[in-house]
Amino acid sequence: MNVKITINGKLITREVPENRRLLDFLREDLGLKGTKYGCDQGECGACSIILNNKIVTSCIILMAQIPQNSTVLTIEGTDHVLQLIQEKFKEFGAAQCGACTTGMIMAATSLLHLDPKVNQKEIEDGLCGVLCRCTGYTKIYDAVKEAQKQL
Amino acid sequence: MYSNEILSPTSLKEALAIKDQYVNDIFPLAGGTDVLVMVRNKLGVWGESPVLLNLNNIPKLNFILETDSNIEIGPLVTHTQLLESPIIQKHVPALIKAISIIGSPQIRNLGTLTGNVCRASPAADTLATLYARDTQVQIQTVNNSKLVPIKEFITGPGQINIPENGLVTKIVIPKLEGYFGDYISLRQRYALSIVVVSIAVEALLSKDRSRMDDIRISLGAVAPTIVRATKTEILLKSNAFTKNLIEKAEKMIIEESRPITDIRSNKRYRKAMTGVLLGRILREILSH
Repeated sequence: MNVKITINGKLITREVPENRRLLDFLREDLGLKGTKYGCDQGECGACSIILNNKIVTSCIILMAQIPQNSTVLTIEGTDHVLQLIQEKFKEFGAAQCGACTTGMIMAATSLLHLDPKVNQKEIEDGLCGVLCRCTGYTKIYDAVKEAQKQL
Repeated sequence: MYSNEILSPTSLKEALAIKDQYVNDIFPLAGGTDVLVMVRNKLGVWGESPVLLNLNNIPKLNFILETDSNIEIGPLVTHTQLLESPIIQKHVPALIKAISIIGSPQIRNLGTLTGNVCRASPAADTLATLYARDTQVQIQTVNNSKLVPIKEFITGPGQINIPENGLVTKIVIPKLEGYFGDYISLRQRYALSIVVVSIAVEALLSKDRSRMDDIRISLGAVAPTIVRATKTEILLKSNAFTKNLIEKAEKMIIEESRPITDIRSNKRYRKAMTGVLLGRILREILSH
């Protein structure tokens, strides 16, 4: 199939197999390896990206399911909120092994895009689709709350 | 990663014709949160990498409609769309409660209500409320369309009653004016987890609030499908609605439920919790 998709602000048109996954398209075809390959079954959230303004797990989406002229934001994007959250993750040491970090940052970006004023409970709910097995989440929440102050 | 052949019709007519031609050799694909995981893990029929019937290019299957007596939901409607819908918020608040804890935001942005129904899991969050509402499922084939009550549509865990050339094209939820609806689920954690036991209630109090004019109670994860607690419903409908009656109902629903022990919980706990959860909802109604 011929896809026409805007990824991180750049329009991309190319031929891809319909059964190719969005995750493989991003990582293998476009070389955007910031999006992580985790559990491979829509559970851990490491592969989270923003598709048409919604946070989704890219490992369980086939290219055939994506409407033409969709937009995708990945960790490589230059979105203002995304970059601010990355800065704050760095500042607060909100990463340990790093496996979930991309997914966490994308989920936090999506959350603050939808509502910059979310409270602690809403942050927890918004990030619940990404599993972190080392930081205990506290530093991650702190980084998101600090980012909120600057929006 | 996936080797499945995919057919992507752009109209329902075309989709039904394809289903009619391929019958059991093709499977509908909407959100994919379940289908693609099963294909990946080569579970059951999915191990054969069946052809997938991608419905995402049929925008007409994406609708939430309010009619005089029903709410109608198309097969492409995601959980997030339902959460954001003023129609669902107003008319089926218990469904909002159920959907808000499905999976995670990522999963809710992809998964569909119709997918949840067709997956027919006894632990599915949306199903308890749909059973309490006597929801109907519209099944369409090339030359036929009919509405089937959800309890006849779902016949067992992962088992649905649908003709081999049929597609589900609509979920029809009857409106219930003046009812109080609630849903509670217990699970090991409140994200990306599966129900240990769940309960949905739709209750209509009499005008003087002394009796239940109607009550529907359904239980999740205590039987091979969602079940209605009919004995407990009758008890509650045929007596004055008091604290004493609530205690009797708690005991009766524990008697009535027939859960099993599995990886998520055990029989004894599940049984006890049906009473606790029902009591919680009934006391909430009584205190209002």
